[in-house]
Amino acid sequence: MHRESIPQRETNDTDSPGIQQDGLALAKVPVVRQVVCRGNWYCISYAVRSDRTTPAKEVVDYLKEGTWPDGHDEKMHADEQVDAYAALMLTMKHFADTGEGDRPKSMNGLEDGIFEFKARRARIAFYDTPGDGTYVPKRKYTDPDQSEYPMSHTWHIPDLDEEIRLCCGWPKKGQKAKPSDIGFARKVRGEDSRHDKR
Amino acid sequence: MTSDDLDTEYGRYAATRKGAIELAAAAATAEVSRLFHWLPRASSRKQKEISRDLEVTEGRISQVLNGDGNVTVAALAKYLRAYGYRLKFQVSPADEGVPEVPANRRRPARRAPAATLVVSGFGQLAIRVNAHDRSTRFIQAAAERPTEWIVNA
Repeated sequence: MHRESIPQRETNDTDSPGIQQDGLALAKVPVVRQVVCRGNWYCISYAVRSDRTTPAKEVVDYLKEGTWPDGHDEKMHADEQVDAYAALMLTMKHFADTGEGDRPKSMNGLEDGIFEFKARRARIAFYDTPGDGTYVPKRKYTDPDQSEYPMSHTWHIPDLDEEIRLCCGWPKKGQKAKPSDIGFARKVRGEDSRHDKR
Repeated sequence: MTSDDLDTEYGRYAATRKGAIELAAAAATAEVSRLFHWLPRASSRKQKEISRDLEVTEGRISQVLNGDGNVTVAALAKYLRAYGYRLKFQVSPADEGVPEVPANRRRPARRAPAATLVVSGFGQLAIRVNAHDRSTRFIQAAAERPTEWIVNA
């Protein structure tokens, strides 16, 4: 398995998420993440930024209603968006239950431990963590023979840590995800994971 | 689904009629997608042969097999058959209280007519009762429902 063993620490911004100034005392307000689904393998929830916004949830809510502006910009019409919402829900539930995607092209590994769920032209980026404020970026397999599950239709997805956090989403624009989109997912990961640090 | 699932977005969605219906559609296309993924691997038939049999380009075949599985039923049946398989449907109740869909109910095998009204060479009418039902009950029934007789002139 291709894993980088050094836990990464996000240093993109200097906010201290969850810290509220109350007179002289600083109290850390716990973050409650909205759970998409949970199963025997994984619990999937929305990552929370320092300002308590949840970019992935915004996208998924738009998809559910067929009103995603970024999708419309890419000619992803309402019906396709609603279809994509259902397909994403199914894929995530299947992944949480079985540890693999429900379709061969339902998931992909991007870079630096950022993965994505795919449905129609919607992409939802995520990362995995044990839930203690750390994360170890994993890499996708590029050869089925190296995979632990060569017969799986998502053989390229390695075993991940049990907490799956949805970072953000974008409509497919080309063969590869834009570095800026992946960069934003990493930024959300850094802010989200810091909520869990003690 | 248990009530515990209602604290998740998936659970709440699946508990609605619209959600259940949309998820059923997504599950069906996902199943077709998985099927198309394994079809060329399971079958010994080459893509070139499939291309020839279906009269489409190999590129089109690749596009369909690597797509999201949202194809027409006819296309699904054709691709399966081209690879040497046959499509069968199985439907089961998803909601409580919904009866099983009746199995493919066929008419019983055609029976020989119980009796035949025949016209003899001399212009006489006669009833020919077949060997399997010469009971008195049949004779009475035939007499009451003469329109069902078959004229074999």
